[in-house]
Amino acid sequence: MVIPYTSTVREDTGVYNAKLGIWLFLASEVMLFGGLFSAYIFLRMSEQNWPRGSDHLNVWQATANTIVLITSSITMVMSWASLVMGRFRRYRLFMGATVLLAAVFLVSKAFEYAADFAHGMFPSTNTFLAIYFTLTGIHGLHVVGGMAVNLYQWGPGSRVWRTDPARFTNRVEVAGLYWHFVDLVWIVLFPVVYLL
Amino acid sequence: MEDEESAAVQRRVRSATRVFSVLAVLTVVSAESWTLHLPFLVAMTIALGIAVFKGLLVAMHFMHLTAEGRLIYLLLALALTAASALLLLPAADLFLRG
Repeated sequence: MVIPYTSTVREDTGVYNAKLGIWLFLASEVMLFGGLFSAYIFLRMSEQNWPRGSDHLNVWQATANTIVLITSSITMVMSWASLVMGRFRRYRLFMGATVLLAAVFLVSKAFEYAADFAHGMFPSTNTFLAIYFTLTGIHGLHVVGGMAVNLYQWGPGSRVWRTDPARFTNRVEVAGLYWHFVDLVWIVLFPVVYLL
Repeated sequence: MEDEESAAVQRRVRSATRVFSVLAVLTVVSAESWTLHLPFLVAMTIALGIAVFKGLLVAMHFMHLTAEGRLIYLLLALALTAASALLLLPAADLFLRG
């Protein structure tokens, strides 16, 4: 079976199908995180004494995590660019780095949660911690999902490069769009939860 | 044609590298600003202003929105409008009920 418009652009939409698909999915993700941030705003507005994030959370660890995610975004761009230039080994190097940086982020987050629990900070403790764990937890799940896809593209999924390099390049581009969105959500989440 | 494509990709990589440097610096600036113990409104303006600017940089350069067509912009406009409604409709209800 030949799936059309995996490499070529559709005349009516101006993009190949997977790119339209991922942007539709990201539009739904905007609704998900938009709803969560709205919930944060209303919970905060209705609370008299809302704790300052920086008083209870590890800001410098979160800052390091932000740098890690931003770095993973640039390695994702480099992995796509390597494929466009036909350099498959360079692609594997940069995609491997992206997956590794995602793992670093998740391990750091696990240590952060462990430290929070050790200090008696649980989602049930107060409203601030409930929304903190919800926002960062759902974001973390998105990181896990993206990491799984990128690992597949680095590993068995990269076999498509041999038979249809244009299609594989587009797959990596589409995975990259999702990854940059996950990074973008954290860029907004970090100051909102940790600094304010 | 291939040379043109290669040159375009290399331009994009250089642009992304510059954006990465700006993002890293702004992240540290944002984190440092909390050590100043500024009044809440000032701190919020700085933090959110930097976050929005960084988000736009990621969207424009990493997600390459600058090169996308009207359909993608329309999709995003619809999503952002709906997400804004999630915020504005309850806000209106709260405001009307005092």
